[in-house]
Amino acid sequence: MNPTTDLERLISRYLDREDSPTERRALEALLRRDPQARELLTQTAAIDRAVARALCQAMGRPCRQTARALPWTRVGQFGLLAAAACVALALWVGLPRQAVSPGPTPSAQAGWTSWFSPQPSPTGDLLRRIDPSHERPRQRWQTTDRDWIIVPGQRPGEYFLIELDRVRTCAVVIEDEF
Amino acid sequence: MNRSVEPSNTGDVTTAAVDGQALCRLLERVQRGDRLAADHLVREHDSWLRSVVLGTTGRPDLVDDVVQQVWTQAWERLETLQDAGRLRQWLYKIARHAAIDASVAARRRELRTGRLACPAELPGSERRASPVARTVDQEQQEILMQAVQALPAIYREPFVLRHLENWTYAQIAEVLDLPLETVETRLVRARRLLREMLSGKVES
Repeated sequence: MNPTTDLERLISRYLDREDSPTERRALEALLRRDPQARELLTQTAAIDRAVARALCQAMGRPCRQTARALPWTRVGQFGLLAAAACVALALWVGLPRQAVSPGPTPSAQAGWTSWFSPQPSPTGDLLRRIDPSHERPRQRWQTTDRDWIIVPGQRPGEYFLIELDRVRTCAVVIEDEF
Repeated sequence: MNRSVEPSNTGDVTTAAVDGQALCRLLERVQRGDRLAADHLVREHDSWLRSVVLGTTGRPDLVDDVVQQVWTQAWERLETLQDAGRLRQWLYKIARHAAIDASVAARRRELRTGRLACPAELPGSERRASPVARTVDQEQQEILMQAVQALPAIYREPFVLRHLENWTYAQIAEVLDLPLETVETRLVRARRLLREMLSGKVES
């Protein structure tokens, strides 16, 4: 039998929800290894949806979309949910540790109002954490594009670099063996 | 088994599943001139008959007139219906013949007079859309409907019933009096032809 016809039949049955679990698995396996099969399903599903909408419109009927979601869309939805769950878990686990760390100042914590808003940068706090016993005079290193403020770190050989460009102060790097 | 013949929108349309005796009683009431029973019958079957007419002719502009004729003929010939369980197949045949006749007549008429442009009906939300969006929608609608019209009727019929009525292959096969495999093959071919015609015209 013609393999294209077989694939078309599988796709047609899938879109019409007439496929058996075995056929569903066969189609999904085929979609995983064959990009052309994926393309054919995407194209057929898009045309199906568009034509169904046009038919409803022509008959003046409300269009109830009965099209089946593509298999990888559902996988994508589960993937997104899993990613969101991971981020939530990471925040949950990571946050108390920061709360007990000596670094963050009350102001930094106070500004952080939501679990989902970005965590404020602890730059200022790290500067304060530097042990004054190791503090050395700051050096300013000017190049044509940007300035660098070099602050010696907590341990000997550790330096805190602040990159300055014309509009913002952004990158903060800790360099050993500077 | 004692199912009622209440109109249903759930797609549960297999006539075999409907109690034959209840349907017989309903048809007897219709024959006696019971308007409520007639209304009941029309409500249950009008929607899919419209889809059959669209599937046969490919022309939305003929649907209203043809379906009206179908119901008139159905009332006139109701005594000829031998088996109430085959009401759908019986209505389908009347609708199909009426649709073919109307399609041929319309084509003859249009050869003489030319076809009037029939703008596609737009739902309320699109009436409020911008003129540019409406033009794009109308163009897209025309392209899609032309592709549907270009399908051979034997492929278009199951395709329209599947997409407008959301019928299963078994339901389509029952009403069109075709083997299940034939319905499936026709749907596959309809999709293939549409893909060939609309490739590059519909966004994936």
